[in-house]
Amino acid sequence: MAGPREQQQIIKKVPPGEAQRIYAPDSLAQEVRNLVVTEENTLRAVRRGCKYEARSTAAGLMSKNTPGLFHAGLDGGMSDMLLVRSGENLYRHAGWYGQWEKMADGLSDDQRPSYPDQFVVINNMVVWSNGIDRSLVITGDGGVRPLGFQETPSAPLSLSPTRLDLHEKLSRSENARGYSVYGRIGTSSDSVAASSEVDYGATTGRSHEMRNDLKAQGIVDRMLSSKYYYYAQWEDSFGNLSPVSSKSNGATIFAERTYPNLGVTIDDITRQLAVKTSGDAPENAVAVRLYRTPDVKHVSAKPRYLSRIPGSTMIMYPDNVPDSELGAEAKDYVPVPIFKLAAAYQGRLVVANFAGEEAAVRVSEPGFPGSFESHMYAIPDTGGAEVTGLYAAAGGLYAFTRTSMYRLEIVPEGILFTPIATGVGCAAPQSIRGTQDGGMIWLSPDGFMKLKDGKVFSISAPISRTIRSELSRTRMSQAVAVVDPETGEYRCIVSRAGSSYNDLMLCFGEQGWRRMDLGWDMTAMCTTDDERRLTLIAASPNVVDPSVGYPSKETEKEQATHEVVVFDRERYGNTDFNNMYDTPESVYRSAWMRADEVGLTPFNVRTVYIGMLDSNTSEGEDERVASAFVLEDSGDPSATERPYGAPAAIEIRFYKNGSWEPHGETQGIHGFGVDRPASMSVGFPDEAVLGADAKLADRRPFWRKVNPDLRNVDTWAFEIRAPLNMRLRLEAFAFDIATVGGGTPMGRIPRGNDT
Amino acid sequence: MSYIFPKRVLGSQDVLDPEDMNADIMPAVELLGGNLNEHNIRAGVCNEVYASAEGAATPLAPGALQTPYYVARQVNPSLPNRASDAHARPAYMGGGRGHYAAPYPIPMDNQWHQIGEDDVNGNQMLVTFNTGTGKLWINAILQFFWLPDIEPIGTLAREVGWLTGTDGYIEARETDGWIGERLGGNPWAGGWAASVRFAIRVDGRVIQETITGRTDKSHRESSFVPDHALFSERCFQGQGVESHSISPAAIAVRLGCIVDVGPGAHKVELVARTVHRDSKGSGGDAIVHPGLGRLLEPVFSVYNSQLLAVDIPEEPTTVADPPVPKVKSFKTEDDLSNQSMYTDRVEKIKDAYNDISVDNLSRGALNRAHLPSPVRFARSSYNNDDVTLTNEWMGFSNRVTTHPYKMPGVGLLPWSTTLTGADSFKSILNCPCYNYDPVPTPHTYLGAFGTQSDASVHAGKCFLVVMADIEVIEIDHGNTDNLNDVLACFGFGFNFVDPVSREPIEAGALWVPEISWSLYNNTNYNPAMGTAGLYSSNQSVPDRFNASVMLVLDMTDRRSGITMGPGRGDGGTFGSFGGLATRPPENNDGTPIEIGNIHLLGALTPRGVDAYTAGEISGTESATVKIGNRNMSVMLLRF
Repeated sequence: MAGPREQQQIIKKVPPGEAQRIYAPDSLAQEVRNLVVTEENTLRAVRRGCKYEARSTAAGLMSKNTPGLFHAGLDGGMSDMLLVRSGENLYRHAGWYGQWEKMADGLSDDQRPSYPDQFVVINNMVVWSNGIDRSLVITGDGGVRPLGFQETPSAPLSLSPTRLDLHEKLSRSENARGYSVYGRIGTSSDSVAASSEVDYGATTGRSHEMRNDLKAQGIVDRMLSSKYYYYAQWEDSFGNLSPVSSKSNGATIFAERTYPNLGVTIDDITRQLAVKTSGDAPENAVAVRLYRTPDVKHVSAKPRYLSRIPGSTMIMYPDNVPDSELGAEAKDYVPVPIFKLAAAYQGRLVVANFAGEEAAVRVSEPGFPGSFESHMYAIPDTGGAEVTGLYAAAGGLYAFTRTSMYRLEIVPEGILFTPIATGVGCAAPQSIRGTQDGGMIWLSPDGFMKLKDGKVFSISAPISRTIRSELSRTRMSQAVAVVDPETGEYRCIVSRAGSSYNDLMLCFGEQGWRRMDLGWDMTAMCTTDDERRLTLIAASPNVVDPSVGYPSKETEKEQATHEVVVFDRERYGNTDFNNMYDTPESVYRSAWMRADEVGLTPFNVRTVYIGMLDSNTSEGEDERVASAFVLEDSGDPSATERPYGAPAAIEIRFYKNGSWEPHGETQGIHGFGVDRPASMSVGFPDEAVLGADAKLADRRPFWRKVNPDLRNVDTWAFEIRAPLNMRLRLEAFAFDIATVGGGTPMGRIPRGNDT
Repeated sequence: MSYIFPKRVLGSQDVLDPEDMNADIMPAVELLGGNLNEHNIRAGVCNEVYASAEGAATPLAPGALQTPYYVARQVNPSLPNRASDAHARPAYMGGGRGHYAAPYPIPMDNQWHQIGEDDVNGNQMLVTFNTGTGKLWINAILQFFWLPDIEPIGTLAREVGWLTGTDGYIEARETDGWIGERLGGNPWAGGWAASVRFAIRVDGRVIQETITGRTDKSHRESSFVPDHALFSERCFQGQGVESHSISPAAIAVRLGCIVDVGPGAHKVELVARTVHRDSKGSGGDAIVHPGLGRLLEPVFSVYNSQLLAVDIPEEPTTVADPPVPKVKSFKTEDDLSNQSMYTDRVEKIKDAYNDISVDNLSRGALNRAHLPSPVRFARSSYNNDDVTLTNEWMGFSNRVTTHPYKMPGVGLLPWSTTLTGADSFKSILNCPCYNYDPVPTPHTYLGAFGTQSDASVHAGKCFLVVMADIEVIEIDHGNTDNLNDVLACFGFGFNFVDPVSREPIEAGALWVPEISWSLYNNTNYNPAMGTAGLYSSNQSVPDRFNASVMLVLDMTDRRSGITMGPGRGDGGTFGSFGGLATRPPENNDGTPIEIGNIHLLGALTPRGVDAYTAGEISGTESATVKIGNRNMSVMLLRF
């Protein structure tokens, strides 16, 4: 692929003979550009793409930096959410307005090399993060809220009752002078004999009545001095919980005893407490949970559930819950971190790579993606390397560094991790995708890797030169991949060296590697989560300078802002995106072919047979074919606005002996068979006459032969090119090859000093 | 599915491959099979259908979208105005225009009861209906009073009144009379609590969040939140087992919620219960009725009440098989003709797309951008300056004369009616509902919708919903004897304009639906602050609380031939309520009169200038009610 010097030269043995064998295109391919594989394993030209929302009238709505694109069907598919993060804004597609609707703004727009935005569907909502801003939750009705809490509540303020004023008890009603009717809080002790009370003298401040009562009683009940602490916690509308606050000031209940003769029973000396929260809750808090310790002097200091109070304003809660009725112990949650990586696994949100903690992984509670317990935390890499990938596929949850790979297991006690491979890491988190065969493919710093049946192996050896030499190392982290739902093909957009955007799509399927080079700057890509099975790309077409044939310094300034593009689809009136700037071609370049295992047999290539399916007609008139070429080279940008179906040509070139300098003349090929039946003669729309004898017809396979005039060569190759709108369809190849002369074929090998 | 995209555009040089041709058209057919979603339907399309149907013979069917269910129970407390009595006391039997049902006493069995249950004379606070899957938007309001024992109190009691003792005057506790000041006293400081709860019950399930006096403080619930209100809030009952209930003796409570419902029959009720009261001597329970020789039995009564439930469907209740055109796929060697291409395929699809039915839509395909809003008019207003009310409430009347404001040269401005200076209701906020324009031009304000002269143009229902929230800073008895029988009163008044002349009709006259009045007492009294058994205001605890009020007017029907003049309303028109349907006012010729302005009115009762001239307590007083922030909103809902 790419230029000859960077290209690993794939060499095939094609033995001499007269078309004795038919070769499928994939069996001989060295470079397949802008061709997709059909159901029959033939190749057809890709259809480029069209704008997803053609009615959008807000020019420049999106920026030139669109790192987030995601589709999900929420609410059982009822809410069709197509989300785009472009520049500082997060949009959703609102088909009812024919427009992109802004959902959030003021987001960080960092265009330096970084990871693409993360989108995760969990619990019927989408969690978004760009690794810089606070992550957001998007619901099916278009609501946007922060994910959980980054803040910790202030400690609540507790209020304690005063000491009992017995005199007031006698003359006033309930709930005065330190009494609580009926209080239920307090730690009582065993009943004791009044005679054991030695301090009933006047020095204690007790009244005369009290002292008399003390003396009169045989047995009295006592309540011990006790102390309690309160804690507050916020809850959001999804049930996510904030960290628990620090503890309040202590609520104290003084030691008291009963005075039965005076009507002071044990019910009078158990007490109520009160707690007041700060009311400083963030906007997404919808309730406050209160926790309280039991009596810390005698029972425990662990906070336990007290009450959940809807609302987030400042509240005062009269607490009358005895220790025995307190609920479960409070869990220790941490603030929701800012994370660069996220995945959904077993109903939990798994996040990794935090600011200042790039090596860490955290796991949320099941069903609550904004609640992270403190102990669900791990640093998978022994050396504390940055986590560069996180994905759940191939039967497990995997975390990557740039040089290692780990399998994570989540158990109630925490996160367990097992090294899967060392020396194999991940360079691009969004390149990790599960494949339809149950495996997983990703882009490592050394190429594309695959995990299948527990084994990790490289799949990109045929394009290793591309990986090593053609791609940008610094932009590798922004690669994005999808698995095409229709073909199961793995497609990854990557940046060439020197490009700020992903400008090349590498495709891997059963037929090996292909590439799509459509002249687009791309940043994000996704597939639709519905029956449409579309591949969507955030892209803008390059503005080609016609004087040089590629984007120049001047035309780069005219680069449009990004659009969401439907890949490999066409739409009437789509010239606004596809045909204005560039006219990419379909290219099939064969491997270097030789006649024996080692290439020592010189041979003549007399005829090349090209098997195709009916594609566009070009009728073959030389002038029309020639005019197409003239248009391309005319330097007139408008000339490249070639409407669909315009005459164009399929051309074939030949190469010999390892040199990519074309041998001989470029030859034209018609894209249809010659023996068209009567019905086929009007099978083209511009010839069909409705109601006459026009009929539909399947595309016919046919052969065309070309004489390459290759004589006495050791190796050879060919290349077929066609404009995309020729809709080239390649099915097979066959060759008529003969060894040169008689005797041993190797007698024709030049001597060492031959010139 | 959302947008669909052709795989390729058929070009002039393309092969007419049946596979490609099928790919061109079949996705469009499949989309019709119940797969059209929100993205496939233009925003506002239902509004366009709705609008186009306005003048058509078959307008959008009433109830096709939201459906309202409304019931009101008019039982005015019949508090006298200042001219006839010095004390604010509700009658045991309701009065005023409308239905003269008896107030509903909440049974003392601690169970939830539907307000008005088993009452054959008045409406029950109950609506029943069938829905599909959807949500119910429910709003309700009621007026509550804590009455003394059902029997007259005191050996010589002649009056069946509230806050009165043996001789019709306030008496001290020691005489075993009814101690009005203690009603609803602040339990934090040792007072008593009425201990009742109100809630909305749907299909037998009490909606947790609507239970008053229990959870948080929001506009959806009662203003009275003893559970965890601030110390300074009214009726905070910080301690005691009955802390989760409403305490004051006179209060209007507004409740609301949104509830998910499934398909089937539903029952929505406004319910109430008493809460177990076992604190020592609370609520007068320990006081022996002098005549009957038993403990006093408090009576918790509900007077005026309204309940509006709106069914907001999420899905159609029945969905038939989607009407999908029968389109055969192309096969090779099929003839390509106008018949095969257009008539048999494209035209069928085109016709189907031009005649979309609900069955073609996927679940949830219509969102808020598509559906017509039942809110045909909405406006709100607010004010935040402090106002002290000294004007006395004039009793239940459907009409009051006020003093309009006239701007030089532009006529009387209906929304500028000022009610200050009048010794009656005072306008404390108003909400303009009419686009005043000296030049008669078409306008789209409230009058254009709610008061259509021809009922045939819209056969559905029409409701005017007015809500207001008032921050009550202080209810001041103003006397020297620390009594607590002053009620703050809030209601709504309407004035009208002629749709042709644009001038106010009977400038200065307000029509006041009697059911709109809401009455609140001051509970911030406690025994600790008083002397000799009386109860005085706790000066360290402000009275501040929020009064949440609401009025729902069923404006669906209309009635012709109502006369102009002071008699308006006597025949069951706009100003009255209840037994005869409330209807928008009309001119004698049947043309509608448009609402120009809606006022939020404030007053107090009794003013007390001549109170307490006999009995143990004597003196004069000059009560006031001080209010702060207030807001109101007006919605006209047409279904």
